[in-house]
Amino acid sequence: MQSIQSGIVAFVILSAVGLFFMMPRGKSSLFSRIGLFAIIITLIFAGSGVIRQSVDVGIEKVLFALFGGISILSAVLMICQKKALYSALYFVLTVVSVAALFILQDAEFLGVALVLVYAGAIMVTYVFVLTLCKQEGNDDYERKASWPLMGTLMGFTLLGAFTTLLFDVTFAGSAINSDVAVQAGAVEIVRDSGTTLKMGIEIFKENALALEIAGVLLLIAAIGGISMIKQAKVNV
Amino acid sequence: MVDYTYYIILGAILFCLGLIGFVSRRNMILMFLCTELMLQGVAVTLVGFNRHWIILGKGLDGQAFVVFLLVVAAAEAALAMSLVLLLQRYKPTLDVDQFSEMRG
Repeated sequence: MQSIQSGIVAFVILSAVGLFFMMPRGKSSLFSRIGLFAIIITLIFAGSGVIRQSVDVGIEKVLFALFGGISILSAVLMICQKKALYSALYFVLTVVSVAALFILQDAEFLGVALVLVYAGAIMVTYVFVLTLCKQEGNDDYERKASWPLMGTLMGFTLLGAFTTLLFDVTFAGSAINSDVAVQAGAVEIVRDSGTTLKMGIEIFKENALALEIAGVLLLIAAIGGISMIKQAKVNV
Repeated sequence: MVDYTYYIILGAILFCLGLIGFVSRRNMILMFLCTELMLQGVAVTLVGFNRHWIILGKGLDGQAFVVFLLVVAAAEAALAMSLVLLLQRYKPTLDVDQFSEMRG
């Protein structure tokens, strides 16, 4: 597993350097182009590593690499924008590619629900509030990221810990060799009638209490949101 | 068939990117957006694990978890946006550094 270890280290270091260059500074854009180039190169290598990893190159691996690459790239671009509205739009792209990944994982109800709820409702709320907010004073806080070096180091140390742990635990076991078992392994839960029916059974039968609590949570959030904005009437 | 390990790594990458964005940006709404990105990473991890459970024949618990994650994210987004609009009454800015001192 020595090559995987060095591959992980190279991936983490190269993408950390690229992300650090892409963080918004006050002035120049040459560094951000270099950073974007470094991150794209890293993603291409990682994607080709994923595609090469198994015996047969099915279409699912190519689709996973494509949508995974799009989601990571748009997430990187989202956190490195100077204008907040562009970040919101890049986040919509991230959500849509994650929904595509969900559909690849036989979770088509969740993919559609994600697009409807996240990209349709939550992001519209964010965009409306962004356009409603007044931003006076100097605009400098949007042009420069605060603590870009420390933030990048911290995040990528955590990512290196995650990937090293994952590769140590699962590659040592039998998860990666189970392509045959995966094919034979009876996906009868979803293959006959799709996920929507099974999700309905799952939520309403197994998790009925969580469903009721979720309903109460939404009700409290709605009441809280309205009561926070309502101004108190002052009797003069 | 893509092994579920790659989906978990993808979820970890999205989570760490959201963490980096949350720490290093100062716009209030952008910080909330990075929180949502962290939740997206968790959702990818959950659905990746659930794929393995489907193969083992154990049900769709991970996907139900993601549904409740969406519920919590929606409630949090609504309350966070009303908090931001409430803070606009004190200072007409979105910079969190301006709010770093308690009001006397």
